[in-house]
Amino acid sequence: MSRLDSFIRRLSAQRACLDAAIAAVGAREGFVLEIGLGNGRTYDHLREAMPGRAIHVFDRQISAHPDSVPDEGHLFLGDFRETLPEAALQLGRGAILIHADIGSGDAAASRGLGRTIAPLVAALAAPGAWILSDQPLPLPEDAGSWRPAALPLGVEAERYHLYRVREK
Amino acid sequence: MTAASRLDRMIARLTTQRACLRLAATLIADLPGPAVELGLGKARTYDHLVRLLPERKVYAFDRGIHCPPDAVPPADRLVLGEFDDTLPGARDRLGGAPVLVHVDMGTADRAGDADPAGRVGAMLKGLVAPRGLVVADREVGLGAWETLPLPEEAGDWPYFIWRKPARG
Repeated sequence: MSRLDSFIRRLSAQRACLDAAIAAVGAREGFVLEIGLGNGRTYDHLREAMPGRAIHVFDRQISAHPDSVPDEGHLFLGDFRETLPEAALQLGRGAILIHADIGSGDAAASRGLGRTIAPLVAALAAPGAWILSDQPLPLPEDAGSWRPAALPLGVEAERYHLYRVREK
Repeated sequence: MTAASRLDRMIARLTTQRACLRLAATLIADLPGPAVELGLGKARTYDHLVRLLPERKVYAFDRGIHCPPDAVPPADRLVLGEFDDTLPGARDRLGGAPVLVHVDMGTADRAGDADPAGRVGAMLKGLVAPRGLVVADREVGLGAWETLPLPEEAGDWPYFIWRKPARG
């Protein structure tokens, strides 16, 4: 598979998972979290597909396309281990859709980061929320507020991870 | 262009590139000669061309290197510099007339791309082998050449395929 093939596959999987989660959320109340803004493409997709929703964005620094940078009031800049707890204090457990795109070139470090942020993300997730991520977001069993959900058709296992938070 | 988000547009662009290159590879199957990627960028389509055309030499031209280190073409397949400087004498460097040139030089400033694209087109007129193809992301001004229809699998994204006449 060429770099072009694998990039198309990654973006298509991302879009399929985003669209599935967006459809599942429907008109349910809650805000959206984009963890890892990166280039800003998926932020733009969420913004287009969910007009009027508050989308809070987390990243270490801004490297996105200037059109795809949120205003300061929706931006948490810095280490996720600090910004996610800060956001939980400010925003509470009200996120209905959470997208984490946090992988870097280092596969082991990326998985580690997924494990690190999983409980911090859980503190922001509303009952019934949908979580999608490029890395597994495992929760300790006793804190297991979410379960893996089926990936949309055509998305290979392990390429993306989809979870559903329990209803109350 | 109906694709809504930047994610949609990126998928449309990459899918179109892949479909056009696949068609181009079949159309040049009987023509001997090298292929050229004009605008290496992230090296995604260069890598794709190399795999698509395993029997041919594939050269990459760009001003500088912006791709991951493990994607950089071998030194003898890489031509660095301004197209205005590197293209005029390219036939010697390539060891013959290219039968396929993929022009991937577009920036976010479509209007600003018109001049450089036109200059590239003027240089390609002489460089490309008879019946050779130019596949491009911008209108490069090869008006007298045959314009080929895009393949069905192309996405919703403007792309161009021209074939040089057998004579002239």
